[in-house]
Amino acid sequence: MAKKFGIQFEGFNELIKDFENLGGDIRLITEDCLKAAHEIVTPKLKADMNRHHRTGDTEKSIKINPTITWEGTTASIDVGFKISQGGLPSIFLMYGTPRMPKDTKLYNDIYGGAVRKLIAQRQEEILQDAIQKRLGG
Amino acid sequence: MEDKLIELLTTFGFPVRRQGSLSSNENYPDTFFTFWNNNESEHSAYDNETFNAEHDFDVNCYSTDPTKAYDLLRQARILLKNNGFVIASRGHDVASDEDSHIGRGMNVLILNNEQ
Repeated sequence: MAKKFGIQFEGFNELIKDFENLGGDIRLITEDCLKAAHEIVTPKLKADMNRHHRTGDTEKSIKINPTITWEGTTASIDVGFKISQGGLPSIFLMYGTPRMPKDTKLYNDIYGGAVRKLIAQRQEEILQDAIQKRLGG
Repeated sequence: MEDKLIELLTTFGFPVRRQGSLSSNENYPDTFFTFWNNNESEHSAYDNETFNAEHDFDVNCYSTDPTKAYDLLRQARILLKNNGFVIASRGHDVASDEDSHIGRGMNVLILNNEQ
């Protein structure tokens, strides 16, 4: 199913404050950070769905185009399978059933610790680069 | 740690099976647990030797009675927590091969000191 990703890494609050103090566009940098999560996860999902290819319907339900939703000052992005668009089998695959073993790799593409770490690293890089640009670096 | 998990879940009096281990022509029991070991990793090390290992499991409960599936998973959560498991999850739906059953699942972790 689609998972909502946010921006989470150590030191985020301090960095975003620095960026804001330098006149940076918080909204824009937030969207760039969220898109990073989508860019990291989506190719992994598509690659791992090759093992489960039959009709291609479940793979087609993967959210290809990142859509960012703002609710007040909170932004989020959906990543993964859209259940209402043929993505229901993804639940079977990612959690398994009593007759079907779990595809742990597919599950970890969205929920795994390694991918969350990768996303956090990329988001921190994006914010650091943006700050450096503001400083004229 | 897998043995410990199975032993604890078995105290509820229902079958405990590895996720995916039921064959295609095997009937679902009315109520049963499944588990899956997601990962066994080194949580901490000292002098290049594992000090604590982290064991990550899914625990699922399937039943023809939805109330039982929910209640049993809650009870399992309490029992496992009282026996050292760390459980942030309070339960989520899991898919069933059979229309007659619903499934509820959770993720559980346990650290094992290997020194």
